[in-house]
Amino acid sequence: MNTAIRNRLMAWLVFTALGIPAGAALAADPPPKAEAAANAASAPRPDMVLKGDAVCTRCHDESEPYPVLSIAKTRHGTVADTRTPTCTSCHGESKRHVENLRKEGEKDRPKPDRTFEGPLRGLGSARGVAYVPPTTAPPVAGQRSTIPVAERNAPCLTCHQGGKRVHWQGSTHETRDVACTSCHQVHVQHDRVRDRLTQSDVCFMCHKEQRAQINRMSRHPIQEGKVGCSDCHNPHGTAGVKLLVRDSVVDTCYTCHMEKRGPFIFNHQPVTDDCTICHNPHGSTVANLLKSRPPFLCQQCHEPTSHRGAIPGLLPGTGNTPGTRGLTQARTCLNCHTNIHGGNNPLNNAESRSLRR
Amino acid sequence: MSRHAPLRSARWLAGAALLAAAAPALADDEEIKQLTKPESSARLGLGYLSDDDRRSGQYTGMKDQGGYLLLDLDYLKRDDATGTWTRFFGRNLGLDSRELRGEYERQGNWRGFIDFSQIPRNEPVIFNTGLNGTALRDVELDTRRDRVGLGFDKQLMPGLDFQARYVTEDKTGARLFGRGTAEFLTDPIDYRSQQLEATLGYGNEKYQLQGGYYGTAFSNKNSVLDVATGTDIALPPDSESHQLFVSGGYAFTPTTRGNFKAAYSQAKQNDAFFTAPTFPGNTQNNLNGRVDTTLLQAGVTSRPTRELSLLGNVRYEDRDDKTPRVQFLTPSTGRDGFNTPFSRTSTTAKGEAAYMLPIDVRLIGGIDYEKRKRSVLTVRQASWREENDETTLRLEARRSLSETLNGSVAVLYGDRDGSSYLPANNNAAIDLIDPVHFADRKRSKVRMSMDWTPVEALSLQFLVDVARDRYDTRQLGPDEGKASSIALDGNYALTDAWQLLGWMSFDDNRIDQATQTGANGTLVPAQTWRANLRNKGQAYGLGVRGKPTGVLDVGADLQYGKDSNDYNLNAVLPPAALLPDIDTKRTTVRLYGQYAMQKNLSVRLDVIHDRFKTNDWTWTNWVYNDGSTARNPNTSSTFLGVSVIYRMW
Repeated sequence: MNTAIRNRLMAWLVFTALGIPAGAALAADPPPKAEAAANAASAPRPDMVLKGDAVCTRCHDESEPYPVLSIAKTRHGTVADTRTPTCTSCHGESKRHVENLRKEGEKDRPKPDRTFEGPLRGLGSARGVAYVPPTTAPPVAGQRSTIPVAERNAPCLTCHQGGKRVHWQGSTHETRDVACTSCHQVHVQHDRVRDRLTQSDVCFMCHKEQRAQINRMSRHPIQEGKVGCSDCHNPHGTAGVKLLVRDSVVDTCYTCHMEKRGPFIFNHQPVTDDCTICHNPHGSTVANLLKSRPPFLCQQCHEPTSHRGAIPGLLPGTGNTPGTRGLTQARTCLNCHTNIHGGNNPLNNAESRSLRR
Repeated sequence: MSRHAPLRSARWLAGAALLAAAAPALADDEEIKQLTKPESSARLGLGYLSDDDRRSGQYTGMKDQGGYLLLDLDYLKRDDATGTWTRFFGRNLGLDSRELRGEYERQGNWRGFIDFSQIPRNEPVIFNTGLNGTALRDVELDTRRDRVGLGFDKQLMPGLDFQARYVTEDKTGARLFGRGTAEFLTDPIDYRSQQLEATLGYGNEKYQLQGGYYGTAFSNKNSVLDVATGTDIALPPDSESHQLFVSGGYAFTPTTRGNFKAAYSQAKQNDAFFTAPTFPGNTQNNLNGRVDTTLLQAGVTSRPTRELSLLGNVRYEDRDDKTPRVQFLTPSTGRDGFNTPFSRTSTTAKGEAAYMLPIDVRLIGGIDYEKRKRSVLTVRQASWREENDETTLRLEARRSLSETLNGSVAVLYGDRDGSSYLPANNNAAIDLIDPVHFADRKRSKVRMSMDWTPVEALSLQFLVDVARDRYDTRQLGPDEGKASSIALDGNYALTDAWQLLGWMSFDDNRIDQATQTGANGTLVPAQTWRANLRNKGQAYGLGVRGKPTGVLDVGADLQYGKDSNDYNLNAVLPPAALLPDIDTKRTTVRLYGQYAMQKNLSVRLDVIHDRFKTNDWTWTNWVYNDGSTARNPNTSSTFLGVSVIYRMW
């Protein structure tokens, strides 16, 4: 049990022992004597982590819902790096908070100049047995801040503006009031959103539809932590579409599925255009992440000449006769049109053009 | 759940002050160290899977019944005097899904790392085949990715950074393939994909600029699937791409900022053909494929007043397929025999204005425009459009600065049309289907979200999304699409020690489409048939987290999902041919407990039960011509893991 928690417990016990209703004592404003004692605690004392943090750490410690001291375990607590911020770099000087300068009629101690939302209300996947380091903060209820998001993000952008965040301004997340701390935990050693295993829990706080999709029969290994949302999306903004990490949908998919790139002798136009015409990358009830089961999917584009308008059914037969299994089962259209992403067979054979060889 | 606690800290300090003698004012050195020094940890344990389960174990590395080693490591050390970090991270080291990372960094100066990740993929469908002349046997088709990454960062001078990343990934194994109407084949996979990116970036308060190179290379050890009879199947060819890019941002004023990106890529595919072309006169030994892509993007955001913000963005992408057109086939209906390069140009523009009303509600209005232009082949296999234009109007109201209730309502309306259709096979008489991504479409969408904290211990999230696509097709093809989803999340803190979390979501996606059975292609209304496809999903999650004593953490989760695929065909078929609806259910229950035997040593117990059930008929009664069959088994398995976790400071 750390000191702060021990102190709190002891205070509670003493209140109880003295016959003072503990709940009332904890809920009410501190009596003048106690407040004097609290103010007395503001006597000079050494910094614990960051330069000038004594003014904060005299009251705030690890017992907070949003831990304070553990920032020392992070890159933001590396004081040897001259760029490392201080408490007030982010939270402001907060004179009214520090000195408890209440306005007339103000009951509570004024808040710091800049407070941040506590992220994470998500429930992680139940399936994972993969290891989550204990330095990862658990999901906690979010606090709400009434400070405009732009003001909350400003101290972060002071240092984190370039690189992969150069398109933050104007991005969907920026214009829809997503704060940096809506996703990131600054005070903990292991930020959930920066670990593939726990990242999606954070994204699913808002993207609920995708949370359901990643559990479907055909899916990427997201809940196992082998693919993260940020493998495809850059939540900080991009020059491409859908916040994708590369400049287009196809270029993003090619980072893992390069064999689909070609160009081939015989290309399939949607493949060169946008993979999401046929696939739902977040998950599907149809194999291979297809949006719809062939032949219905293929019939959304292809003329009914030859066998292409045939009605799928479960009558015996493995060919392309209407109503038979050959159109409907196994890989359906792809039973024959094997090279659906493009064929590179140079032989003078009609089957090459129809992506069968 | 407690809120930010400076005031409460003062309260308990007040209480503590009454006990000044009893409550120590400062933590001891060891405690401070544990609270402020980077922490390392390791897990060592054993797990047991009760049954073979290729479904829940599809990517975990635990698919077979039996025991598994649970070994993980997170070693992190910092030399405070120099800001030097050393990190080793290993996860799933005893499994086929293992990953490793080693990193060394002098913070603010340089960093280097190497990582390795293995991703198994086990095809849940099990095949029974005599492929390659053997007796019928079960065949499990698995693939595995082995990825190695290298990275190096260097701060060359204040504001000037260099970053390099290299990734090479080998993908090996086999996947389901096929030939003809029902020939069972497997696709041998032996790929290598490589990516290299090097970036030089400079930034200060006024502007940020970065430029660099991004290159990729793909190689496939198998160029052809040599089948015993008939035409061989070409496999994906080697290819490569090279991109130069520059991007940046500039603060014109404290409230106005611009950003941009320009990139030029060249992708090549000149892998040697597995055999020589057989069309007379074609002497090429490779395709000489080349695609040049140019991207230009620029955007401006501005907040001229505290209440008003503006946004403008334009993007131009030109994908120019410069592959020479060469004849490979003898021309016939629907083909001219030449290869089929596709080029396209995409131009998008976006404008948005947001205004904060006095009632803390922000109104956002926006317009998006997209023009896509495509090259045209001489002969096309499907109906074609050279150009599509889509304009979307958006209106949204948001409230996001309240401590208890926030939410938004957004409506969207998009209208897509395009140039005249160019008929498939150059025959207007058999040009019936408007392809789904070319067709005229009117899209409407409403989205509502709410985030409510009625009391401090309870927070709720609610989201509704409804969308409708109306395709204004000429004759056949997609007709109408509908999508809706509803989600509710809740989080309730019973006490400081116990927390309940739960969510549920429902979604419903439909598309109505039409085609016809007439094989000669001319429209015959009596032969038209429709499919009203529907995919419904429901999913629930419930969890509890507790800390009944200071040394014990426990938790339980229940997740359930059910997906239904309905195939409502408006077509004449005998009853035996009709497609039954498909239901797929998945349930997971997890229990865990972790007991701290001492501050740095815990023992943990995990129990996970997974159940998968489907009536998917994809493989039911399906028999390949050679007698091969497949089955998609329902699965049920329980995992039991016991491990110890050691923490170091």
